[in-house]
Amino acid sequence: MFFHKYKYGLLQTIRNKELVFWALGFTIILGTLFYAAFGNVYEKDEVFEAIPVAVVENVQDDGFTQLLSELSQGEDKMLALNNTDKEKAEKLLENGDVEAIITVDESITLSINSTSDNISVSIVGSIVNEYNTKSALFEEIAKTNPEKLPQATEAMNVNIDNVLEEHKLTDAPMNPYTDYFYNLIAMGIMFGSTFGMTIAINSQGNLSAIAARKCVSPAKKSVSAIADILAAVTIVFACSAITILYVKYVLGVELGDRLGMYILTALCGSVMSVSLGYAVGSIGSMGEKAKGAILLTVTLLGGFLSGLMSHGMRQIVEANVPFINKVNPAAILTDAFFSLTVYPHYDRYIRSIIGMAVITVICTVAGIIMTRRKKYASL
Amino acid sequence: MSNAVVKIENLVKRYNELIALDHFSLEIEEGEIFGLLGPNGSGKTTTINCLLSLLSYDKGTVELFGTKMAPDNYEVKKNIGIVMQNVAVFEELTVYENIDYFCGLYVSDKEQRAKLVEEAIGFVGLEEFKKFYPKKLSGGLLRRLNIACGIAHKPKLIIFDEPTVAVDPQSRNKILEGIVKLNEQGATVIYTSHYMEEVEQICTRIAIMDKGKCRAIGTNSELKKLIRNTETISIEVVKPSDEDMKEIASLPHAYEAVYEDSKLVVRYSGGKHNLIRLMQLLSEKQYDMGRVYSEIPTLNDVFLEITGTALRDSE
Repeated sequence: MFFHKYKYGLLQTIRNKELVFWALGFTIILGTLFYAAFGNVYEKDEVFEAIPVAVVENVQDDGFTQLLSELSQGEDKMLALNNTDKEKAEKLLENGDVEAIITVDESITLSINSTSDNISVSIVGSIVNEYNTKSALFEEIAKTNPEKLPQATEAMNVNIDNVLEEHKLTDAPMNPYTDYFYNLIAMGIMFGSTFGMTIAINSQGNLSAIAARKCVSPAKKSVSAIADILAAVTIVFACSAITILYVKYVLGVELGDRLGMYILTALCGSVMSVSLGYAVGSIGSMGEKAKGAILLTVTLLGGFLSGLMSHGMRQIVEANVPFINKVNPAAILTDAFFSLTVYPHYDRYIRSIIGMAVITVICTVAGIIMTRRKKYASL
Repeated sequence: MSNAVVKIENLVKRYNELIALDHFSLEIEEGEIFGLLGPNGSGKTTTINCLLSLLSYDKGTVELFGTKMAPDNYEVKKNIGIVMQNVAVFEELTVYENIDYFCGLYVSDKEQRAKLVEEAIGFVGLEEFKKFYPKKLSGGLLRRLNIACGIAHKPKLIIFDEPTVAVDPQSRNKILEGIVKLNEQGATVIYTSHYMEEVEQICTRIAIMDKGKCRAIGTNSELKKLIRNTETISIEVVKPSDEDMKEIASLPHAYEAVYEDSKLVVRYSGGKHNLIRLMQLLSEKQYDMGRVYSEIPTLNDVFLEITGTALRDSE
């Protein structure tokens, strides 16, 4: 029974041209348009654009001044410095002219605001933290074991190149335009929620004649639902995997060396997305149109808040209402891709995957409970 | 009745203020083709939906095959086939795949299912359209596919809910012949319709429904015996005088004489040779007569007399 339903679930889904277009065709077309729109920029110097930073020096720190000087020179300079006073620096940050303010006091501090670019802030933050950590260490060694200072210096091999290397977050390229592509992949996956809703509609006897026929049969709704969900997940996942491969190999967008993890994330996202649609489609006794409108609102609003339509929106939400990013499926999915692209470790990525798993379980169980063994008040 | 496949007792279904089923009771025996006849909105489909546990109801009990019907009564569901009023097939699946899909909800053995699907396709005459998608089928063929999806698993109880709505006469006849054939093969059939001719043609027993109530139940001839009318004679003639009309109405066994649509219509309750007597009288009065019709009562007459409105008028 399960495989019978799964097989026909696959056939129905793959032959639903409209849904497949939105999940695959649309994302591929949009991805190609993205590439055509900023392909040149992508290939040239935008990738290595220096991060604009305001520097407020309240005290003299020769070491740090030298470090900044090294980082802001040459063709592949990392920082574009603007030495100024505190007031002007705050204005520059507010206007978005700089991504962060580095204040040199007894220790070096970093100020950002909600619109600061996440990647830029991560890079500058890492430089500042590293400098603070190492200068504190040298200070400690100078106080307690001054004779070992030369060995310590040698051991740490403090030079600018090394600092630069250590601050590299991941092997993936630090390209702001990569954001657009993984946002696009995430958007395609979120379209999968429509597949989930179709499954829910076709399992409620008050919403479609097909569902009524299924309800009259001895097939258990939970078994049917799981088979249909898995079939839809298979198609959504296949669409997203094709999109990822297209973006990476056809368009040549560098997604880093974690392709397998990207694909895994797409799988988790597909499961979550279909489950979400299934749960929304199972709510209450509303008609198909009303449920469709709710799902559209949930996915579009979620997509907007997660930055799928507006770059940087997720950071704004994170700064002001972080809870939304923790429950918004689109934001969790985007964050998983972001974590893979930016961070060398998996802590944040695992949090995102757990978030997706929780949403999947809640949505699937809620959907099944809402639809099983049900008599309807009206048909 | 001993072999009741369906037993409904005192079923009440309300939609807010509207009472869709009003203490509706019914028993259907094994092997019957049972007709539920009534105008649109009389409660036929509501009865079917309550019967199948699709709809909740306010009061009453529903038993199928001797056990209480419930959404999780899977054993009973195995024996039911439903042909919905609306065509319920997947647009993305071919004729064969649609039948196989729905048959697969009942029969898990692949070989057995393949045989059943082929039989169903042959039964509804869709052999040439196996690989067609539903949108390529005409209305009549689509209805046949709808039927095949409901009967492929060879259920013991088959419910046809207005299966001939918007179907051409040729397909309608095929469908009706098919239903009789299924019944001959052992299936008990419930057939709902507002076409009295169909119900009259195939049903062994009929329940007349109106405003959620069962107004009468019985075989075709039993129902007709419930009413006063046994014969209606219509004659094309110029309008008789009032005095002559009174005389016509007082003929033996006549209980009503009216003039409508350029015809004299006289209704009788029993008696023989009514036509001869009426024509003799009109000849004596020197009325020139045109065409003459003598009709035995139809279910519409039964419906008219029981409910006060004609079946077609109330749709």
